[in-house]
Amino acid sequence: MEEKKQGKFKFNAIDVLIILALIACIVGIAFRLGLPQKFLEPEPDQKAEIRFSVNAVDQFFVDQFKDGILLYDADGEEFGSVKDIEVSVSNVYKENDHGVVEKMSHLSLQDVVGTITVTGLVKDDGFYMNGDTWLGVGQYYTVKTESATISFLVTGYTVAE
Amino acid sequence: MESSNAGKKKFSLNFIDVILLLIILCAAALLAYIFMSGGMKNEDSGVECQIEYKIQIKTLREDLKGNVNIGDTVKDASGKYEIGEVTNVTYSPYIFYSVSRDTMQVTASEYPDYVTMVVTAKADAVFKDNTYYVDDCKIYIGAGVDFRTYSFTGSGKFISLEEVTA
Repeated sequence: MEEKKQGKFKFNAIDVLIILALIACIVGIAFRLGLPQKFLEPEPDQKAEIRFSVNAVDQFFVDQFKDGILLYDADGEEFGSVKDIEVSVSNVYKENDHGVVEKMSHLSLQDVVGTITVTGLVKDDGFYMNGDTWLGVGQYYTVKTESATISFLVTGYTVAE
Repeated sequence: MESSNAGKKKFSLNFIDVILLLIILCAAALLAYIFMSGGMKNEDSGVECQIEYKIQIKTLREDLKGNVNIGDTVKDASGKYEIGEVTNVTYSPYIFYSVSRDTMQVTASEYPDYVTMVVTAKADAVFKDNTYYVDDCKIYIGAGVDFRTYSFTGSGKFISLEEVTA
């Protein structure tokens, strides 16, 4: 009875081959997803200061930008903190009767510029916020404050030494 | 008799073994099919050459100037494909064309706060099917391109393309 029980759990050569094949599949999928690199990469701990611009917004939107406020990404993770806020009257570009575009000041809309301090990692092809989101001048990003969703344009950035 | 039975038992397959073997055989067949079909596609490997092309961003905010540098690698916007290396960058005023309501003549004037940027890049390409390919990306005049360099990203158009000698 004892012998019969032991025999039930014996592996044959084919079982071993199948298990090895399954392990190979799992390892292959892990490499395809880049999991080993993720474990090997250093922690994203470099600071960068993003210069941003938000154009042609109303006063209630301007009120969202205060030095020191925290911004969050779509997943609710901390994105960075805001500082050096400057607010100016927004420009309007209007064609005149001569077919020339003129720049004028808007009566109510305003532009906001400032700096966001973020944490990330410098890689071969640029700076990655939180180690996974590439940061580019000319790119729009959407973030949240506690009470609003804001899209801003990156106009420059500096990585701290 | 006993030893004969034992021999038979040694090579017997259970139901799970058969199912797993079938799955592995299917996976192997699928992989073979993918590789073979890929191989067939690559039959016309084309002619290797070096090309130089220009990407124009017609309207760029003036405050975004200076973020593309000579020597930067040009990638598609996803960062997956390398499509060249920057050899030159030029900026010029963005010219706005319109019709004057006074004279009914076509007018050209500089648009305030915006510039036109042209990025020149070179790349190792393959010419096949009458098209240049760089890292599997089609390059042809008039095509739109969303690209990025080390610290800049933008959308433009290929406005020139020529084969150059290395």
